[in-house]
Amino acid sequence: MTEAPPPGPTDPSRSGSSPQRATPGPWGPRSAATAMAAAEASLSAARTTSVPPVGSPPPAAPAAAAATRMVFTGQGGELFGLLVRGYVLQVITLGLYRFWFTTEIRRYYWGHSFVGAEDITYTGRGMELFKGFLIALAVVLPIQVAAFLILLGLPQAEMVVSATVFLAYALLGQFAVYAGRRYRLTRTSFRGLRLRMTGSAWSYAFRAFGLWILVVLSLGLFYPWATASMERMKMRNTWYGDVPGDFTGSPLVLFRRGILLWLMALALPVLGVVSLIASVPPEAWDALWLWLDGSSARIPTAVGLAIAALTGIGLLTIIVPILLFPAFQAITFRWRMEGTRIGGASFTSGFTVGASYRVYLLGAVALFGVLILLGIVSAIGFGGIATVAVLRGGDGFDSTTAGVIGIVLVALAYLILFGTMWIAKQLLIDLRLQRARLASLAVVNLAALDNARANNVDASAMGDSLGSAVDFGFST
Amino acid sequence: MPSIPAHYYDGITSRRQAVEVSLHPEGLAIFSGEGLVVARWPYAAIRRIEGFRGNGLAITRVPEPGSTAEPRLEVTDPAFAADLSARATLSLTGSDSGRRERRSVVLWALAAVASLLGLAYWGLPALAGRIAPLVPASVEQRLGAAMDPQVRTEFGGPRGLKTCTAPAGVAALANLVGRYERAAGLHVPLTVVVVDSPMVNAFALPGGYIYVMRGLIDKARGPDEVAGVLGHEIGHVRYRHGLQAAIQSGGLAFLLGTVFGDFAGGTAILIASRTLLSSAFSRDAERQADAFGVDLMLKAGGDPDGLARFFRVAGADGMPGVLTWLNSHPAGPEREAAIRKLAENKPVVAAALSPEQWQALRAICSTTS
Repeated sequence: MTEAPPPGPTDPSRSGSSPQRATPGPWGPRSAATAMAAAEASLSAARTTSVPPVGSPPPAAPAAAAATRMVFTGQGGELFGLLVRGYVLQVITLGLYRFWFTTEIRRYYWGHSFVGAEDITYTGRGMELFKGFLIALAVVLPIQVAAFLILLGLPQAEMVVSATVFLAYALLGQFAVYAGRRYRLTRTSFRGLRLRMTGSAWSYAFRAFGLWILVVLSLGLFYPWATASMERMKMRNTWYGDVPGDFTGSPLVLFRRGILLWLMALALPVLGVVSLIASVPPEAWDALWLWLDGSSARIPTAVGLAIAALTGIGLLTIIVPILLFPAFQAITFRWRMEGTRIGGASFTSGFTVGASYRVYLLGAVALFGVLILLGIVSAIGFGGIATVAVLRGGDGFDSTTAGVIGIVLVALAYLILFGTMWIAKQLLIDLRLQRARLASLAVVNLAALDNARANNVDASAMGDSLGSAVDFGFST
Repeated sequence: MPSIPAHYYDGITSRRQAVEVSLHPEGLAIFSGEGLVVARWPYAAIRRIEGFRGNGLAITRVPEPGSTAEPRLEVTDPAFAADLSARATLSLTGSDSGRRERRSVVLWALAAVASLLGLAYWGLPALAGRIAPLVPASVEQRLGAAMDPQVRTEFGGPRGLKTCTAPAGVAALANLVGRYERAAGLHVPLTVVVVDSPMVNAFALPGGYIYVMRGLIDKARGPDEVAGVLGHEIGHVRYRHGLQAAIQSGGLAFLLGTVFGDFAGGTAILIASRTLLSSAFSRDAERQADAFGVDLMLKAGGDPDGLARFFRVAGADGMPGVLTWLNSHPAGPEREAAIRKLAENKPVVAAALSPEQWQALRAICSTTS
């Protein structure tokens, strides 16, 4: 505060404990010198949509594009509390609490994300997600009922029906990506202004659906172009108040950064399989077929080798992509953030593949530790219970009560095991990943947003809830 | 009342403004650096911004009519925040109202869970019972035809269950089935086969498909036991229980899979409640089928006591007592008593099978296909 005015003469009491005390004016201007100006200001302030007279706006567009660092301030302890409470409430409500839980978690993640000193606010409510879920049910229910009735009457059509349902869900999933994003943006507020999204979720759904088909057909090589196109569709319809967003990421850049991963994940195993098939003598394959067919129990050495090699390659095809996933995620995250524009503001990210691996590797080790700990604790716990049961009387196991208690104990142990791993994964991987990602981010030329003007709208949460109802893991 | 420095966003533009705020009897006043009144917020309109994780307190005011602006004020001074909380108690108790909302959500969710499980327990069987008669017999037969290979794979592994085909045995079985079928007055033709499996079991699919496993014939001490089980299975066909079960499990899968679920470990709870609920459905169906089987034997031959005796055999090496309430069939002794009561003082019209036929049936699995 550069010019702090003296305390107002109309406020002699500093306690503020008595709201009933009399003051001369209804709103008590702080000094006689500013009374006139204040009265004038209050006249124009009556129209809330107008800009209050707070002096002339500062000159926009600073000379050098300054970077404002982003930071995530969330601590594990707070999230742990939210997760434990959320898990327990979800268990006792058979999952119905998930909408309110999702809202709490989002509020945590949004609220702890700061651009410089300014935080991002999530204003969504659990009830909105629940209502959206009820609407989404009205979409999903007819599909399920129709599929069920068709299968009941025409069981031979099972392949066709399940393929159709799969395609319908995939399309709805893409719809939900867009509509859900629209909901989340309209519930995201920064500096008192909400974000929003225009455009049609259906046209996005059809286009994204087609793009994904191309990605699959090209064995993933088309992914940079597809994702750039989808990102452009989303960002060009994204607004911060009246400031439009844009996406300028080049698919070629992503292609160059990711091609090595693609080669390792896909081309290497394929090459391995091809060379294996070429190098193993044909007799060995015939013998292998005979063995698989059950007509020959004899396994020649060559067949054994072929089986070993095939298993090895098969494992590689599964394990290598999993091991490469953190790198893929890091590369796409950085590329996506660096291509994102909102008005004159843009992002830079120093997120490295190494940082991603650090999060995942340490997280995996820690998760493994948690699992071992759980094993020890449950071994001791169950051993103790079994001992007590045996000491109480040998035939205690035959009675119905013992059976019921046993089932309850097993169910409880199962829930605790799953819950602990679920909570541990979010604390040890998701939270740390978010922290590392945000710490790598900076907003360049944030001042360009200073003159953004509000355009607050609401959007239905149906898309967001539909997304989880038809989730196949496509949603990004 | 002193004024306190604060940060203000007017909700109309994105600019962060350094302002000063002070509390007055009617509300909170926000002044610009020059001392001009920027905004006045009545206490009743002030709300805490939930989830604010910065320093101090962030508040907003309820939008005025015709406006969507969501202004925002951040105050770091704790004394001021406390003072404001005291004046705007109702609207500032964000954490309290959050707790209240959570409590009501959980209570309503529990009520929803209870009523939906009630719907699943009583409503679904009733619904399936109403829908099943509306399904044409041809549709039911197609369903059964499609389930036949699946069931054979499920019980017999990848190579499937083999059908027993010894001609004499098949003829004996056809004789028994023919008599029962005429007496039962069914909507679909029966397809009864003995399959080569050591299990002591028999089951019926929609559309008149009945499978008797070899183990059951081996274990039976006379033709009446096999005939009783056959009559019981024909009861399932007559009441279209297979179709009802298919409708019920579809409805249950939807109810439990889509409405509930979606949390870690949730799947197990859902599978458990599904098993419990569907075994509850089938217990009623078993009693109904028992009664039909007894009736059929009294009309077309066989001693209903054979069915009752069979449960003693099956009960002896069935699941241990602990798990009977989980089992899909009602407890053996209970059923035995119910069957004896139904057949009380009723004469046996004819033998189920002649001794020669019974010997042939016992050898039915000497050839299989």
